[in-house]
Amino acid sequence: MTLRLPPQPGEWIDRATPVNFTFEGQAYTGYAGDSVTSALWGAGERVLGRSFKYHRPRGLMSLANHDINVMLEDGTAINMRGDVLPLARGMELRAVNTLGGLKGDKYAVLEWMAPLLPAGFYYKAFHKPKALFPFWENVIRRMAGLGVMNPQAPRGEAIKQHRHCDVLVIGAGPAGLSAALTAAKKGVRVILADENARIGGTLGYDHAGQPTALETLARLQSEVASHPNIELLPAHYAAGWYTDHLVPLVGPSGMIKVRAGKVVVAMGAFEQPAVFRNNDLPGVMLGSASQRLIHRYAVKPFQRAVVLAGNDQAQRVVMDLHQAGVEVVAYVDLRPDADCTVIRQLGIPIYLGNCVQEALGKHAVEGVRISRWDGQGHPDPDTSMTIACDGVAVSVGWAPAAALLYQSGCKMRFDDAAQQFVPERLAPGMFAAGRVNGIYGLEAALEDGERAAREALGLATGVARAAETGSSHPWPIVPHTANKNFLDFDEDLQLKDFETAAQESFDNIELMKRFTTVGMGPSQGKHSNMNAIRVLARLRGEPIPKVGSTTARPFFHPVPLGHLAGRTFHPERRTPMHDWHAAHGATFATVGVWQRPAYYGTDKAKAVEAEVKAVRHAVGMIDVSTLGKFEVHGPQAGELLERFYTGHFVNQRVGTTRYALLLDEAGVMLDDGIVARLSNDCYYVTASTSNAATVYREMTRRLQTWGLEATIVNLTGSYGGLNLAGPHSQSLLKLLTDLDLAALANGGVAEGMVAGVQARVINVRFVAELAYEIHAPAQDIARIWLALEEAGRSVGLKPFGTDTQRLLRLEMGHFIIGQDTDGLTNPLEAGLQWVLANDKPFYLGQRSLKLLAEKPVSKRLVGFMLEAPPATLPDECCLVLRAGKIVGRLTSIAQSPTLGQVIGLAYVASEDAAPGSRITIRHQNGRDVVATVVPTPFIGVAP
Amino acid sequence: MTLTTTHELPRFGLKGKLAAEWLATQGLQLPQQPNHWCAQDDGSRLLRLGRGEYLVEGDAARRLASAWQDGQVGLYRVPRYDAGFVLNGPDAAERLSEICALDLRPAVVGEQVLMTLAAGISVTLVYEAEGRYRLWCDATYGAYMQATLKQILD
Repeated sequence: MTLRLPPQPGEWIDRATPVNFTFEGQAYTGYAGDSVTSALWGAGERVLGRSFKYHRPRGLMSLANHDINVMLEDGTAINMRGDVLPLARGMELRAVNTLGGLKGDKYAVLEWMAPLLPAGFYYKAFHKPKALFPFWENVIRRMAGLGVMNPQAPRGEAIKQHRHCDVLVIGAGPAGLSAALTAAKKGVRVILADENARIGGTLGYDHAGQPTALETLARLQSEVASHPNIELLPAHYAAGWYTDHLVPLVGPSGMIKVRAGKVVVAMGAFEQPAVFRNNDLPGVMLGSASQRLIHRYAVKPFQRAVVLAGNDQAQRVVMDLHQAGVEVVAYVDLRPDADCTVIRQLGIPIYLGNCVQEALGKHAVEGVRISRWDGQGHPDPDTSMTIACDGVAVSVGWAPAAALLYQSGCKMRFDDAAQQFVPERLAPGMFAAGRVNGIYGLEAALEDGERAAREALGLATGVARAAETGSSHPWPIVPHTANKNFLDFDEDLQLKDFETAAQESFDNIELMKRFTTVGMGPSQGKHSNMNAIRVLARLRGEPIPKVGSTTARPFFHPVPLGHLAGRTFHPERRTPMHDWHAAHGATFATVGVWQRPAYYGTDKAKAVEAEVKAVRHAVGMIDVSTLGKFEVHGPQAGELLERFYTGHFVNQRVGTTRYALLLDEAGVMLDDGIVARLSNDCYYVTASTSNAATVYREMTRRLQTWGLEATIVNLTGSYGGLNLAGPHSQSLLKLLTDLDLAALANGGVAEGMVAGVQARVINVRFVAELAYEIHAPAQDIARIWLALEEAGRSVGLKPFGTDTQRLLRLEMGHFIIGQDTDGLTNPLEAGLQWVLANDKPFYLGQRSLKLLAEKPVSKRLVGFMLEAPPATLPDECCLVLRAGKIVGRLTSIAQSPTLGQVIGLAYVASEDAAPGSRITIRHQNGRDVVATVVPTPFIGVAP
Repeated sequence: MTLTTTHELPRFGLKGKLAAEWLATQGLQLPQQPNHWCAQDDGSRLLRLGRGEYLVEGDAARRLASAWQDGQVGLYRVPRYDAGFVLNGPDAAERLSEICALDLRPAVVGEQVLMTLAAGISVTLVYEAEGRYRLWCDATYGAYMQATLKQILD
């Protein structure tokens, strides 16, 4: 059976292009321009999905991107919404959330268990016994869910972009089009976005039997398309609002983050369902959905329809159905006094003051039972009658699409006359137009769009036209003793679930939301929140304004995770010697953003052992270009460093270096490095790799705050560095420079030529007793590296990596900030009293340290050796215990090839800090390991 | 769209309260405002990176390097190690909008020097001519930025 109509004015489908596809294994044909839902409905299919909890059959509801009755998967993508998924040739689609296929879904048995599964049942039923909770969790997740993710699905290539405009207009219906054109004509840049594939909103489908609105639409479309100031983005929905008018527009291929000067929200309103028994049966749909089917896709929604009315919009639906050849067998109006002059002329049976008690049928509508009612939820059973039909079009009211207004801080009020929330006070830079203001008439909407744009441009101030009355019925809700009258279609929530929640005292809108989960499904309450508010207000006996509403947080509409991920950018930094390392077999480690050789070779243990041996007995070389490197110039450069670091630098002699320790205001150790004085007004400062950016930023900030006459030059990227370490380092370096290296002993610094390159040579004993750091412009540092490599072959020079460096420094007893300290460690605990120049008036953290110094130090960082190392060493961060209580933790541990011992650093109780003390380490296997505290450096310590 | 690397162009960096005066004495035209740039007669570019910091790229950088003498108070040389790129093509601004949050339309950018984040790292960006943008980053990020720009252009 096909329900395809003859060509309709303005239809979206291309009848010259048939499209074949399969759904649940069965072949279908639709047209290009169809959505999957329209193609299936046009082919006569009624059951298009299953509900979330009870697995009830579901059909077409809104035919917009607003409900989730038709959720599809194709083996790669999941949870695609059939209502807006463009039909494409060769699609192989299945409904999500079924067991054994859509028609024979075995989980449908759950419906029979519905009395046992009220809202919140899992809060009460499965938390005891605790051990069984994972079992029940698995069962529930399997039975109640949406699509199943395919982890093998290929990675998408969603693109994220940024855009800027003066005015962002969201919604390209009559109000939005009018607003965009008004703003554009005033010369500002406008972005006009709409969630639909084509612009026009109601102009394209709400015709009341006469498609005259299409002329207006064609004129506006033409004006918008040709206006140079308007960028049109159809098929993009605004998913949220963030500070400074940042609005993500989500489209088929990615996300556009728009930063707008002003935002006009003309997003319209969501048509609301009526609540009656079996109101989810396939064939019950929103009136606007039936209009969209007819005018966009030329599909007849039903053969014999009942129209349930709660407003005058319903009569426009009747006329569209009538024009499309649908036999409207009954017009049932909840209102007793509606003016039905127009449709009466069509000869349609009219039932005023009646309600639909229930829809009849098993898998699709076969009829309805109607009766008179009092308009307040009390049907008169004595007047009930059954009408045979195959569909029900429901037009009872609207809820504004105001999520972005709420998110921006707009204050909304409930307009009793309009029975709708409307803006009371908009946030700065935000404007509303059209149905969000409760304005439904075409001319009024066009006028309101213009008004909003003029206000946005500061050309007018004024008040939006008053919301129209009668567009929403105050109580489109019919109780039924047999239930199945759904308020929330995502979560299968029935009217009785709300009554239960209120009985259990969850009678605040926020509590009720969480207890019942109303509005928490993928539709985010677009069709349920308003009715839930009405129900709660009645249950509490209070007016709706007292109940209030909830805020749908961004993103108020689901966004594919792939869109959020976009392309992945992982910044990576390489030193000037990177290619050399790669060519010489380096195994790289990521250190912050840097790629650094961890060791050279593939066997870590062997490589590290050989590299350590080279440094201890011959000479080794490591790339330290990643260090933070700064020059501090000026007459007050020393003063800046004096305040910034804990030590003395003003009196530092030219040609010397000093250890520099940086604290925060709380006295916590942030970073360390060295300060080399190159001349009277120039210092050269290093910082650790991972903290380089932080130190530069903080030093620059402090310089501005303190107002000192100094200039900082950041050389971190523009200077490279290497460390030459080991007993042969001096003799090797001497081959390449005329500098007096012997004079650099004990931390000297000198500038001069090394291998023909102007360089800085610093005596630094971080990894070995005899070692030199050589720093030079990044363009030139590789020349020094290569020269050393060549000259060093005869003395056994080996390059070494960061894994080896960590072991070497541990043997030297040096800690690493961040590894051996944490976010609370102060220098008193780390044994760094000697770095604290407390005779100077100020340094960062000094005040806090003075307070700390008045208290006993409870733990101290010490070196240790394991007495009887287990086969697997304790991990870093294993606890240190004293009499069964935690007193510290292990921070570094390694087998020292030089000593043949397991050595490490750990925080221990102050009472145990003296060399010779025995400490207990709780191994990760749960056993205790005993270690002896030893003095550092370890090298030279007798085992 | 084309992507050209300009890593090898000569560059000269300068910082200090006397920097503007010294550059002027060397015959260079200076932007009046911080964070703006201007082209020189010989085709070189002079970027004012802040109140008292400048970057010169092109032949003028060589001349400045020759004229430079160390040890001048209030005048400090900034060693440069930049990766440079030129994006050229009608979609340049749109493509760059994938990695940069700023408004890159020519009418907005004008002769400003944008020191911002692109693809997660610090970059300097200028609009040079219709459809052409120049971008610099620390050369240690050069391989990453080149791969990223190729990705967004492909």
